[in-house]
Amino acid sequence: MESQAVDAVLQGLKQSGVDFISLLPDSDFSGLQKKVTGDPSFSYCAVSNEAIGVGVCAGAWLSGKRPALLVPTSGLLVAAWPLTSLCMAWGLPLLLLIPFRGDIGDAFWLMGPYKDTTEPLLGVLHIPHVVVSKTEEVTKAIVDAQGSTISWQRPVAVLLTGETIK
Amino acid sequence: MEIEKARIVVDGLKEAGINFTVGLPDSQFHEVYEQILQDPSLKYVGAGNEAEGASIAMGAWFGGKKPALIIATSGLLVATFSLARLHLKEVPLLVLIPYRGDLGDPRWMGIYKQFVEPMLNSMDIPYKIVSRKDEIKQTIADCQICAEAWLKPVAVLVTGEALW
Amino acid sequence: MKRFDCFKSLAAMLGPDDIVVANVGPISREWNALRPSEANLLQVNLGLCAAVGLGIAITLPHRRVVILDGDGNLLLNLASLADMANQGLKNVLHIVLDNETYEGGGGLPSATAGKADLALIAKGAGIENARVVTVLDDFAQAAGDALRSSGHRFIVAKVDKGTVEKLPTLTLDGKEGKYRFARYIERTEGKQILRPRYTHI
Repeated sequence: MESQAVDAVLQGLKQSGVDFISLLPDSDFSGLQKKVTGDPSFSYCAVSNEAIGVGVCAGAWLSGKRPALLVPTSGLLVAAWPLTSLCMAWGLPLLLLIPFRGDIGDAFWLMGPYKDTTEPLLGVLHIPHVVVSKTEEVTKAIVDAQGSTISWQRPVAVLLTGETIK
Repeated sequence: MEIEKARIVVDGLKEAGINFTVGLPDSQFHEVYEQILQDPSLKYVGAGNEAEGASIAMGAWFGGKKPALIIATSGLLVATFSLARLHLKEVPLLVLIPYRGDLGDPRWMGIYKQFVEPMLNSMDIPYKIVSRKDEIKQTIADCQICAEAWLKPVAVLVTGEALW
Repeated sequence: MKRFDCFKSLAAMLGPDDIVVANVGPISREWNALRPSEANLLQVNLGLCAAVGLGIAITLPHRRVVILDGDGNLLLNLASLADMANQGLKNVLHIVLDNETYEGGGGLPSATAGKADLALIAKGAGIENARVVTVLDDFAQAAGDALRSSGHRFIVAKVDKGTVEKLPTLTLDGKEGKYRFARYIERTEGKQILRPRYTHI
């Protein structure tokens, strides 16, 4: 991920009032993660699997934070259970930021299956999402998604693809 | 679940050639687990997490077994990541699930109605729903045959008269 | 040792401001019967109790958070223990009511009925103050010690299978539980959680 895109994400998170971030270390987001962990405007909790991350964010929101979860593409599959049993059953907001590996243009074979699972799974879980491929659109997409997740009290995802994760 | 129906499920697994089972219990399937535990030909391995369970089953298949994963409806959501990996490696796996949250389930599990079948569809896991007791065995046999032929997970959802 | 007796002992020791996060099933029903309170977040689903408690404990470091977990529940996401330990929490009492059984799942044994020792696992994950108790006096003493000091304490209470008869039905569903708890935090912490004005557009 280039530093311009990292800055655009950070700007979006800050503008939209996100003040709590949970994440599992992931190569696609490593630059972003380094900046987030060193930034005092975010409380930060590293987790060992994305299901735990959803749980941590649920607790953070219920006690007054505005959380976001940075999810590796594969991790969306790991998070399916709490996204259903907590977010869907209770009606909880959560901003999900996901690098859309396996999208058209991604040449790594191991990522191929995520084209089949990522957007269909979001559909199954009733999670609205926006796909962003241009760096100049990243900040606004995050601000919009955060506004919607807070007002709808359901998770909303931003999938980053194309030049934004190059 | 009535003991007679649980017996049919277990016999169905054996007749379909299953000889290795992995699971995490569901209350409505309790009698199935109890009988499997008593039957060494179905070598049962208890898992603490359904994703781990799917991976154990994959390992057993590579070791020459015919595995079945027997999990609660909710467990399908915990196992998603592992099932996606199974797909990638083209591993056959019979997934047996009591279909909680289906119409007729008296407990508050309605949320599962919204996602079970859409989830299986989005994961490209073919499935068959069995609601009549006298169709349990054939359904299990059909699904296992196709799992082996197609080299992918295939699910059996047990509901209605077959389950309650 | 009966779980219900452990809860009686614990309920008598907690202050009204102590937040309790409880596992779905009989743990929530029994606890609600003994300590009905808006400070309870009940019926947290399988594998997520510790994680939700962790999110609350990070956000409200000045409040005590008590997590009432089950053995099968914690086993589903064991890594929660490692993630909690790394936060260096000062305000958490994590109690596992270990009946060595998937009670809600029909009564089959869980891994703690075999060789797994959750207190050792917790220590290995980095939670130094972890212990097992098997009798009520020890439970009361361990919980009392934990509540008198700050830190991150982990207690495995080995309890009998089965619940008590004639518990009041818990009619609260997840959505109502969310609203009740969030309103309580808003009132006691002076924050706005639900439906804040959002004026970005």
